[in-house]
Order: sequence, then structure tokens, then C-alpha cells
Amino acid sequence: MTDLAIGILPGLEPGPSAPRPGSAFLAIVARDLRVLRRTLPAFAAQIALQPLLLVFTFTYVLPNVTGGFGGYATLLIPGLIAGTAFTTGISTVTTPLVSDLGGTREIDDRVLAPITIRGVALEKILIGAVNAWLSAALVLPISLLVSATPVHLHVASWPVLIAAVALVGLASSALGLTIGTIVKPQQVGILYGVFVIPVQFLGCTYYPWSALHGLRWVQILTLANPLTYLSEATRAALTPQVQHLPVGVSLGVVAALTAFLIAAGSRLLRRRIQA
Amino acid sequence: MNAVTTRPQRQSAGGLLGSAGAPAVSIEGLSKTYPGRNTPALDGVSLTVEAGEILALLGPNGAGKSTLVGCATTTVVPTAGRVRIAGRDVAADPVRAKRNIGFVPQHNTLDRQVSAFENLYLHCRYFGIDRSDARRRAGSLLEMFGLADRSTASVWALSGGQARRLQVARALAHFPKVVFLDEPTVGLDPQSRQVLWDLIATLRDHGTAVVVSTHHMDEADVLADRIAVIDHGRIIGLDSPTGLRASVGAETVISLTATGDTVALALHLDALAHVRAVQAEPPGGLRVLITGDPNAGVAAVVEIAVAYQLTGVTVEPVSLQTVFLTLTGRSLRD
Repeated sequence: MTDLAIGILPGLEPGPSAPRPGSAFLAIVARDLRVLRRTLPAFAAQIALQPLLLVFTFTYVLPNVTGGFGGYATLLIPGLIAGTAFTTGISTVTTPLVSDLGGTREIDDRVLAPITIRGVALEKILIGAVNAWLSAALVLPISLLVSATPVHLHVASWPVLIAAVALVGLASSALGLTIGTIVKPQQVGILYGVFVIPVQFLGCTYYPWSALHGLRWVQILTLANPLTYLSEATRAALTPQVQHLPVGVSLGVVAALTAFLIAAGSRLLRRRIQA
Repeated sequence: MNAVTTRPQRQSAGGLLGSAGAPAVSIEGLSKTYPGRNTPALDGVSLTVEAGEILALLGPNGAGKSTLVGCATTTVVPTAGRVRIAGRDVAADPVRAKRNIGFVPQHNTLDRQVSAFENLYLHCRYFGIDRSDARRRAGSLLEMFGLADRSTASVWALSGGQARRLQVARALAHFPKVVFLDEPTVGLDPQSRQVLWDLIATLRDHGTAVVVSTHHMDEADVLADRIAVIDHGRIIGLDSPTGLRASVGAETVISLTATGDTVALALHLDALAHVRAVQAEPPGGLRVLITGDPNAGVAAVVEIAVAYQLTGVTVEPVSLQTVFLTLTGRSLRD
């Protein structure tokens, strides 16, 4: 029989009756960073592999095979940073949230902590954004190292770069939260195939928007994709010589969308948690 | 020794739990109708639970037990009525109310990405407990729950009983005034079940209010100071186990089966002085509630039943099953 030393129960005392505001939020952030730190090598491998292969294919293999693609690395890399960060932000929030709401309910311990559900939602968005930022920080040096052809990048505007990267993280994780509250566990596989991949390919990641002038309908279609604005804003910051959408438009559209998704995602999460 | 049957002197819990006289749980006129449903899951439930009391919510699956616990723990929004935990309105001030709530769900909701120790440590941190105190609590809870050697184990590696104990430990780590346990012993082996029962009794003895939802009569009978019998979203009986049994007005139940005309038999038996009630127990059986000297009562009943081709008789003291059947006309097992 398990020996329960229950005599020491009175040694426990109530927690602080009025902890610092935001302490539950910060404690949940600390929990997620703890888990992230532990899974960092796997995370890095997962994040880095696709951009690495893309850069390898487009700057080394294809130029050798076709003789073309000479200056493509310069066009590709800003979009690649935005695209990778964007999909990272979505997947780091969506995947665990779907299985959580759909079955394991591990989220319950955080929901029953002294924090509002909106607080839980904002924390998820913040951590998703941190993941996205990390992946952006990872993709840039990898692309520069791997690229076999010269890459002409220079930071034209630090504020634009910071705003673009900040918004890639927040928009993608807020989108991930919104999707995560809607999708069922059995639909997660389909989600990547029919949603994330098209968003990535039609988000002006692998080509600048202005270069689509000959394909008017594609150009119009891509305007419905938030990733287009993020790729273009990143381009404006890193490769100002490449024609890009006006920075004010790109950042404005994404900022408005992000605000909407944060509100929608928080509300949907509350609806999923509270019957 | 069974700690459940021996109730040690309760601590005077007033200082520690100082809730200025408010009951640990106060529920008033609580109703819930889920969207798209015609019938309410909860229908005007009112109830209080005091510090140092174990209340069992007893009812069949779908009776409204989980909805009631959900409303009290902020995960279900009531259609009407309110719940206060230690005086705090759960709907109006959920963040403060949650500080006094511990919840042990029926399913394993432990954090699978961190160790057993970290499940407790992180839970403490969520409740604003500082790092060194959180470590100390996590350590002593693991010790207390016989999990010290599982400290670094992943949640995946724990047995069912260990995971359930860890969930209880986690629910207690911030020292809530009220602990809700939803079907706590489902899927546990008898030994783990006894451990959990002992623990729940210990909590009560230290002044914690405990609400246990269960559809096991023996669990409610052994554990509870009071039992709220719930059916179709309403409380249809609320008393101590002894009080509930006494409410039947009989002490002994005779279950009998006969191949003769059981309707005529029932009428015949109903006229006996010992007999308080005769209930049909399909298929082809009767339950006869008798009062007074059981030997004389059983003899009188059997003597008559023999004339109706009696095929079987069992005699038992009145149980909570009888209470439930008398209150609802249905068996809890239906």
C-alpha cells in the first residue's frame, strides 16, 4: 500500500492572496519558454531544413542545371524569411491547441489558474510569435551561408524590418490561435495541405509582387493573402532595390488584420473553453 | 486501518481559511441549458458546502453533475443563478474565485511536456507562489502522495493511479478552500481507490471543503458527510447518508422474483403491517420495503409470496440504491 505521508498536509499554506498582477501570465510564459528551450535542437532542425533546401535548390542546383536563376537569391531570401516565420507562427500555436481542445485538455490547468481566458489567449499568441521570431533569426544566416550565388541584402530601414518581423510573428500566431479553435484534431493534416501550403506559395514569398504584373489575376489573388504584405514589407526592409508594395500599405494591412485576429482568436478560445 | 471511518479531531480551520463566515461553496438557483438543447442540464440548483465538509454529488451519467462542477469551476457559463466560492462570485470575479478552487478532472489533463515535479512546480507558479516556495511545495507534495521516486518521470510514464494522485496533488498545491473531484476513482484499482478516499477524508479533516461527483453509491456512502442526489438537473434529495436512508421509512429491502401474478402479489403484500412500500423491479420482480423486526417481516412476506410461485428472495438493509429508486423510480444503474 502506498504510504501517504498525509500528516504533513498542514505544512502547505495558501498561496499569496493578492499576487502581482500579471504573475500568472508571466508564469505561463515561463512554462512555455522552459519547454521551448528543451525542444530547441529539434525546433531548429525542423525550422531550418526547408529554407536550407530551397536556397540550395534555387541558388545552387537550378543555376547549374538551367544556367538561369542568377540573381534569384536576392529576390528569394526576404520572402523566405517571412514565409518560414509565418508558417512557424501558425503551426506552433495551432497544432498543440487543436489536440488540447480536442482531447487532452492540458490547457485546463492554465484555464483554472488565476488568469482570464483572454490572458491565456494572449500568452499563446506571444509564445507563437517568439517561435516565429526565432525562426526568422535562424533563416537569415542560414540562407546567406548556403546561397551559392551572391545575395544583395542590406537593412534599408531598421524600424521597417523590426515592424515587419514583429508583425509576422503576431499575425501568424493570432491566425494560428483562430484556426486552432476552429479545426478538429482529424483535420490538422488537411489544414497544412489545403491552407498553409497555398498561403506559403501564394504569399509572394518566392517572387516579388511587382514581378507578377504580367499575371494580373495572380497579382490580385495574392493581395488576399496576409503573407504577401509581410513578404513585401520584409523585402522593403532588406532589399529596397527590388520593387515592393508601399511599406505603409503592407504594414497597415497586416497590423489591422493582426488586431482583428487577436480579438477573434481570444473570443473563439473563450467560446471553446466555456460551454 | 481505514482512515475514512475514523474521523480525527478536526482542526479549527477558521484562522487558516478565514473566509469571514462565507460558506466555501454557495450555489443559488443555478440553471444551465446548453445551446440547441430543449431540456436544461441544470434546473434551479441551490446548495451550500461548508469548510471541512465532503459533499457527494450522486446521480446517473447525464444527471447534471459535471455541469454543476463546471459552473463552479468557471468552465461552464450558467444560464441563470450564481456560484460563490468563499464569498467570491465565480462569474463576476473568476480570477479571484479561481485562487480558492482546486479541480481534479475525470481525465488526465496533466502537462505531458514536463515532469511530475514540474507539473506541481509550474502550477504553484501560476498561482503566484515564489520559486523557492513552489519547489518546496512540489517536493513535499510528491513525498506526501508517494510519488517522490517519480519526480523526474514524464507524465507518460506514470501509471493510472500515479497520474490520478499527481492530479490531486496538483489541485491542492495552491491550498484551495474547495476541491472539486469529478468521478475521482473511475478506472482506479481498489488499492488506489482506497488511498484516494483516505486522502479526501484527510483534506476534509484539515478544513478543506470537498465536492465529489460520482455515480458510485458506495463511494458516496463511504466518503460523504452529505449527499446531493441529482437527477435531470435537479437536486431531489440532500442529506447525510444515514438521513437519506432514514427518509425511505424502512430498514430492510426484500427483492423477490415469482412466476405468478406479481401485480396481485404486490397488492397482497402492500396490505401487510410490516410493509412500507412495494416497488416493481422489472423483469418480473418486486422490491418490498419493510420496517420493524426484519425476521418477522421477511417471514410474513415469504409466506404470502410462496403462493405466487416464489422463485428467489434476497434480503438487504436499505441502501442508497433503494433511496435513489424511491426518489426517482429508476435504478442508478439504468
